[in-house]
Amino acid sequence: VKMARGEGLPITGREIRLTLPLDEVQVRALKVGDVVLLNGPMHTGRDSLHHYLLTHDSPVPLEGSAIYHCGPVSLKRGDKWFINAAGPTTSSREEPYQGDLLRKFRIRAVIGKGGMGGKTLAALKEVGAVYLNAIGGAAQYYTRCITDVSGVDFLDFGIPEAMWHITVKDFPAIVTMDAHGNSLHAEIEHASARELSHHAERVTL
Amino acid sequence: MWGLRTAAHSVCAIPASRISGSRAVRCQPDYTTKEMPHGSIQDQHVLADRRDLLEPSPDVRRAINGARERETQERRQCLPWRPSPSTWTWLVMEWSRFARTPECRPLRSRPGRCHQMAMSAAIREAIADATKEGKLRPNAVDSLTGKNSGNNLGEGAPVIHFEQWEKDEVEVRLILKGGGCENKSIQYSLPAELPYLGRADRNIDGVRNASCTQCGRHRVMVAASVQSAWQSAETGRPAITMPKSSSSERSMTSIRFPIWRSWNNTSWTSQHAGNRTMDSGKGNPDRLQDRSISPAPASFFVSVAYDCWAFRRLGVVLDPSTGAIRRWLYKEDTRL
Repeated sequence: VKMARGEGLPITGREIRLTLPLDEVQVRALKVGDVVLLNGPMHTGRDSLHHYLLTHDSPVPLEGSAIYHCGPVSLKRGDKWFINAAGPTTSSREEPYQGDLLRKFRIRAVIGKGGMGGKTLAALKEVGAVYLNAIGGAAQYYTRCITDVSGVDFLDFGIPEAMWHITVKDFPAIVTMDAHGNSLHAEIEHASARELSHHAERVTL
Repeated sequence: MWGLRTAAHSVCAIPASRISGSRAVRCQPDYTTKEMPHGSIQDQHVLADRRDLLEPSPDVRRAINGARERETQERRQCLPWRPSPSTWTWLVMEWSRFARTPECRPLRSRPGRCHQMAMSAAIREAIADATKEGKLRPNAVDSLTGKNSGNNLGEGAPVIHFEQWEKDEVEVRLILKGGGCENKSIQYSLPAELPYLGRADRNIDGVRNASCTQCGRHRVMVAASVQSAWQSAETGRPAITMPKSSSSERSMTSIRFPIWRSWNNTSWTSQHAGNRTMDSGKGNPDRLQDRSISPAPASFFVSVAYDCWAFRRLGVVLDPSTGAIRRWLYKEDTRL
């Protein structure tokens, strides 16, 4: 109950407040485990957008920007769009695209859930970018961090797949893959594999 | 005297999170009329009570509460960086948000009887309405054209199952679950070489590769040795589905426990901010029920699917002649 009544994120002072867009120096200073609070414009993108951007230019400049793996629930009231829910989506789906897009557009932050693989990790290191893990399922919490929906591109992809341009305030996330080749997701996977191998004994009927 | 049972699945989202819809409706027609009664059971029975729909189930809330206690201790070992506030704080704040959702409405019951087509129509209408209101994300996409229908309706969306039964009542169950679970489910054909486990033979031994790389899990569903067309329907049920075998009764028991034990003993889980205990179905053997179906002889696919913590469910038992609610399912008064 105590926590349920909480109105916001209790700030400890150890969080790193960042303003988007980011530059390479800021990003290379981050390391896995850092908690960041993002402020400023970011763009949502899922499979359709990633696929499209491989062979097309972006409708908005992406250098230094953050791509949020997110398919929001959006409603239009009058001429203005509002986002009803905007939680992170599974990032591993973008693994075939992300590294190339990081290099092509100099994107500095990728936000999503579940982490990404080796190809992306290598690109993060090369370009100077980070992967930020957001909490899967906590869409309402993140929605409250959105202060504005400034526009949308590719609505023909459908609402979840469109590229939503949003502005956030103190959007919290954890650096789980940094620009130095570290990945907490890879660490967890290795730890999981060790545990799994303890269960390799045969099932007898 | 006969009845119906229905279950349905679709991938939608409510504002709370990515959610996919799955419904089960059991209905018993008014047999006194000696014919299939007409009328509609408005699915708004379920969708109307937004607050309860948007809240996690009591068992999930209990599990999360328990896990929160444990994690206070475990976090320091699991996380090298000790984030603050904890994941739990975020999640619980998330739920409190649901409870304040202004669209919560009082329940209204409507008269109706059980008619499969009428019920299907009502369910589809309710899905479209909820999508229009922004309660569900439009998630029905034509797999050939990539076109989003915009209203969550389409071929196979939502999936609705009916099943007759003997009881003189209609049971309607709704499950909304995270869409992310869908794309992290796995399927493989046996025999195979499984990572970290080695050879998986063409029997229950192969049914052991379950992994989740995002949200915390709630329950795990395994289907073995069924034709691939069956997989999604079968994994949508809280059961482990296995081929009938000569030693069926005894082997079911002996199979269930090794798998379940392994599951409980593993803390390799979620890549969800590093927390390791967010498995709300853990420790509850009821979640792993075995059921036997008859597969095609040459088929030994294994499917592993799971629901994440963010799934929601709600159900009602209705009077078949009036549509009045006799009782609610999944509503224990244990709010966080």
